[in-house]
Amino acid sequence: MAAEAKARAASPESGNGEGKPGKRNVCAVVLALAALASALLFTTLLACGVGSYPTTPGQTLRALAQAAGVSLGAPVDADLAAVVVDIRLARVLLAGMTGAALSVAGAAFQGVLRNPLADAFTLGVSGGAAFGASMGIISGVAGAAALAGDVRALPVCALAGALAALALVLLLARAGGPLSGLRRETLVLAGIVVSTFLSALISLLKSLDEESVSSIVFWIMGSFQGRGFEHVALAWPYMLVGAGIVFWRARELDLLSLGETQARMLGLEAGRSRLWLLFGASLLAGASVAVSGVIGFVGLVVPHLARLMLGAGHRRLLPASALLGALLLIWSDVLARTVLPRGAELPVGVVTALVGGPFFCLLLARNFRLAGRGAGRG
Amino acid sequence: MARTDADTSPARIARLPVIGTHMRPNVEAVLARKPDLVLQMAGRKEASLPVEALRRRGVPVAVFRAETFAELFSVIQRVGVLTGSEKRAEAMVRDMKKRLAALDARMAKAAKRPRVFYEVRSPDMLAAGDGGIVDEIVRHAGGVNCVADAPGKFARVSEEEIIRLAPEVYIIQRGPMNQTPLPLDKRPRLAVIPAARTGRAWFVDEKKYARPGRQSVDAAEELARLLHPELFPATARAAAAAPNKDGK
Amino acid sequence: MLRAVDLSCGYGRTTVLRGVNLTMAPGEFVALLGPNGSGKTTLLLALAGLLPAAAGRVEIDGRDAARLSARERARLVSCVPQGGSAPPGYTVRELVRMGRFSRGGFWGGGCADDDAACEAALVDTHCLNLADRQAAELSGGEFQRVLLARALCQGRGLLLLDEATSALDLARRVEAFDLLARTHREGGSVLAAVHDLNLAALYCPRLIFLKNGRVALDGPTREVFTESNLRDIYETDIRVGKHPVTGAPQAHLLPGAGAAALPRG
Repeated sequence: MAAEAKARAASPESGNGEGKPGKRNVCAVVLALAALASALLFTTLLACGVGSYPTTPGQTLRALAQAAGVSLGAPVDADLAAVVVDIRLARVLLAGMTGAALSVAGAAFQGVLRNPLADAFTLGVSGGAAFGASMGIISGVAGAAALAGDVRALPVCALAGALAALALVLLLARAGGPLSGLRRETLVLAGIVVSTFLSALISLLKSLDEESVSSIVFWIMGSFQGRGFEHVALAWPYMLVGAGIVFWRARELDLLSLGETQARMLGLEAGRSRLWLLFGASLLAGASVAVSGVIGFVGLVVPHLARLMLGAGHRRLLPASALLGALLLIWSDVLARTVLPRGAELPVGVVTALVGGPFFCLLLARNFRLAGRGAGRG
Repeated sequence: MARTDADTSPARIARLPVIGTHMRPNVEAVLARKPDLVLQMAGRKEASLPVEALRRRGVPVAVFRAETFAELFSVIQRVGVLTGSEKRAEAMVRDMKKRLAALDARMAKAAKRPRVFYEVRSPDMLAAGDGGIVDEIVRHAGGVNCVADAPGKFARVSEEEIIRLAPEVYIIQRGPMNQTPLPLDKRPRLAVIPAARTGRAWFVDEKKYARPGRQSVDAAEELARLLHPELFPATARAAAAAPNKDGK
Repeated sequence: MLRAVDLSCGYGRTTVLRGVNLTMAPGEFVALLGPNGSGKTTLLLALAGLLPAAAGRVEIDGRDAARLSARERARLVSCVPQGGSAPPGYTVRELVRMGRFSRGGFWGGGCADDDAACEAALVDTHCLNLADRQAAELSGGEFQRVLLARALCQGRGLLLLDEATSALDLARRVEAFDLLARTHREGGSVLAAVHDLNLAALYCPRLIFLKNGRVALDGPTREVFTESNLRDIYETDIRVGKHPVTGAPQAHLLPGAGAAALPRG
């Protein structure tokens, strides 16, 4: 053992030879994040340039510049500006925000629950949002408010549903004990119970009002169709607060991954920290579902992908997840709106599931191989 | 003698007992009425299962498909035969054909046939494709359905596609499929289409337009008045029940 | 420094500790001994302020442990848990760096103190060559050294160790105890739950024996490490001899002398 260690110390790649410890590592992380960020910028430009309305790259750029108040030659006509800015750019922004929010929420849920399969569905947050929206549709509240010029009613119903579901899960899981003493197993169980119950309630609503079925189904499937800057405006404050809470507590997520006892040994009020993180993640997921419907797989897959790239440390994992999630969802939405002829659209949730499902299987297979190798050691 | 939950027109059938919904008719309720004949519209797979159950129990079921005027006429005639009122059916078809021919003759004088977009459902946008009765209604009314080469009753379209199609008239149906559609002037992203700029956007009744029947001819006549007011004498224009003007 | 007063505690309805009293002065190096299930781990958790007292209290640095915030507590007491496994995806350096949590801001900007403490801990525990490896891929013994490094990185004032050297081979075990002894000489206090009686007697000037949740014996090693005391506590025949080099008392087991072979009374 000692000889082995010596051999390792002598080998050139061990330790880090030059300069300050961990510096090389930090550089690599910054580079990776910068690469992702530039990919995001490039993607935004590209995604604003494709769709069923014919546009040239030059027109797209001019329209975007014009919207930003910069003039690049002759002004573009109103149709084109509306398509590029009001429809495509708004969708790209919304898809990016939603992808980032879902991924950060997924990373937080996975960290808090120490469960690699956790996401917004696990704790009933998505189910709550879907139920809230279904109630909004069935009761006619959303429709009436929309007629009065207020498209925010439906998203607000969904967000309220998401937070109510979280509260219900916490109440159930605490089973009379203090909120700070929640056990993660109980949390996951309560989440699954609430999720299942809510999906049954949604089915009930659907069968009570067959005429609303298509509205509810459309909404639940998740899509950016018909969304615009008003939805961006609605979602960003919640997402900002949610992301703020989660990013601020990134190091706490690292500690929580050690388990409650060790986290507390290192000085973390584990119970309180978990509640805050769950709240922040639920705001993120709830706001996402509120403006885009239920989009699966992003929150589940993206954190795993980010972990593969940059390791599990949450101060890198969270920004990487946000950027990757934004990229993934923007591209999924581009696929969703261009893959069918004549401008017909697929629900983006279908695209993410079709892309994410097989990808997740690959990831699982790889992890099993790694785990097998790990078990063979030491 | 009985109806489905959603059948409420004409008004006199509203008193009839309900045997379930059009998607899930209740076999027990149907059998309990001991019917001599059950009529069903084709098209819904889940709704055809109860039909098989009825047939197995010896109840004659006639399934019809009427998605064009031609199909509609033949359905009316065949129902006439099945219910022993052949004469009335013939007369009804003759009358409908005559009115449509008169409308076509009037529309032949139109200087220009406007491009019409017919919204079936929103925000999960569905438009009338070029294979259903709505497409024919638009044609008889002197317009052109701008959603072309989309075979079938419905076509999925995106907002961007609507802008590309640049419809001159935007018709929004209101009814079970489209319960709370927003008027066109409350949809900022569609403000650039010609219909929005000229204010040629109207709500219409889904039951009148999208369900083939005697009222389909009424729908064609009503739409013709909206598309070509110049071809109707002023008195007739005033007499026509004005459908909801978009906006305000 | 560390005091338990009439301390009783346990898990749910099970009481493990019953009225424990003990005091550790600053700069002591104490071993906590006792048979399986005598409450060593529970006592350590309670002393670290991680397990609430059902009765009595724990004082850390003269303050009631129940009133300290988690961060304050973690700045005063560093714990080394029994081991287990590391979460996947963290390098050893990252894991050790987590020891600084209680001293940093939320985002934990890399202040020079933190880097220095982390590197010193890695060097002292001979973990530097492991620093960039995945913690989850270490062997059990390597991981125990990393946990020790993390505790040193957290602070060297008061260390509580729970069987922290059980998976180490002989050379590493001696290294680890040399390191604890050095920490002690440099002014730190150490309380280590140990299974290995001889290791405890070799390094620690004071021993505390637990049995059935009570303090059975507490005193200077040379006074309490006697044949009759050990025989009472461990319920097997044990002979005590002298360490050939240091002269510390050392226990020797007798074959065939399990609890059943011991004469009653």
